[in-house]
Amino acid sequence: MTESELIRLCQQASPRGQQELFDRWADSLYRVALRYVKTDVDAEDIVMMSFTKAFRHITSFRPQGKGSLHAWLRKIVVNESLGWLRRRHNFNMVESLDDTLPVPDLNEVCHLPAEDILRLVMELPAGYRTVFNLHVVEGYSHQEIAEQLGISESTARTQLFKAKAHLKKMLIREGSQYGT
Amino acid sequence: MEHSEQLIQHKLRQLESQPVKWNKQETWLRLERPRRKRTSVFAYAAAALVIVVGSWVLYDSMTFNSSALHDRIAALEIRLAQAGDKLILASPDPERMCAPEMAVQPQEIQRVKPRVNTALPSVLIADQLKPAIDSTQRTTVALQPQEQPTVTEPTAAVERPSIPIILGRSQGAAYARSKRFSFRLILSDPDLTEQPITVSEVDIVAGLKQKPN
Repeated sequence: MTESELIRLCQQASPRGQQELFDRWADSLYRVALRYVKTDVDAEDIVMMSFTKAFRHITSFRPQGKGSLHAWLRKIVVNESLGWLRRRHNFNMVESLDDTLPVPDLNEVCHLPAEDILRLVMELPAGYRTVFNLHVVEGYSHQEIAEQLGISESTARTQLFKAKAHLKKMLIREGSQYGT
Repeated sequence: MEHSEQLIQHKLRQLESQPVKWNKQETWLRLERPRRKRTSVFAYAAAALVIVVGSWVLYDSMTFNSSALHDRIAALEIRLAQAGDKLILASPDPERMCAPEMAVQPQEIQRVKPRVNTALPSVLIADQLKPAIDSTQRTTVALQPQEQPTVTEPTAAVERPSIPIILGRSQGAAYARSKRFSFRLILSDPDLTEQPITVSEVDIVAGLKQKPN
């Protein structure tokens, strides 16, 4: 079944089309959700809520080429995850950082296998992890992150700086453990 | 975005396409359950509606049957009372009103002439009846015109109305019939059609005729 056929079926509220859509994209969307909320149960809840929302609003979806459906679903999952996090965490802390401090590089981290990178990211505190995910993985700008989380742009920058520093610190700690 | 960040992004996105073990089926069932629940809610609502409508129809039918029965009883009572009055007026013969063995024949009354006492003399009675007042003691009194009482003519005659004997809940049934919904589903039901009461039924109830077996 092609993507346009799948969209058409879902727009007609066909149970077969909806199940096909779920089977095709649920795994990757579950991984996206898990990267934000950390626990299996919460990620399942987010996937469920996201698909419910997608089935309800798919009539207003206009496909813009191949992959647009997945990108749309992914955006729904990210928004649902952010909503979930906003209800449980306070992102509203005003943090500032000295601009003269050097930005920690992620050269050592980026050479790690994907699973190890993911494991390190998952160990970050919720605020750092959210900003890191939004900026590095989703590609959001600091202004967009600030709007999404309801924080200032400088706070978003600070959170990303601290997230990178934290990752580097964890990597050094793990490296020393591996060395012993 | 830095090169290292792009590399991390690429690796993490690649990882998303890898299969993962999670409660996928359960999540799908949870996603589908509200739709099933909604369907079952509609089914329950429809069943409840059918029960309510059925009860209403049954109640209406029973009310109608009851009121029809009461009407028939009331009409029968009225006609029975009328027929009874006619029978009493038309045939005062006790043999027709009661069983022959219960009938009592009237006896002839022997009238006795009163006896007259003729022992006292008639003269004595005549003397006793003479006036004991002299003519000198008489006075003439002029008669005063006496005021006549005013008599008003009756404007209306009040009679005791003849009240028909109505037993049971006939009046209540008539009221209920006037207030109830005129909703009938089974028009062909013989119980729901009003049949005229024949005189023979009245006679049977009055005991004047035997009910045919």
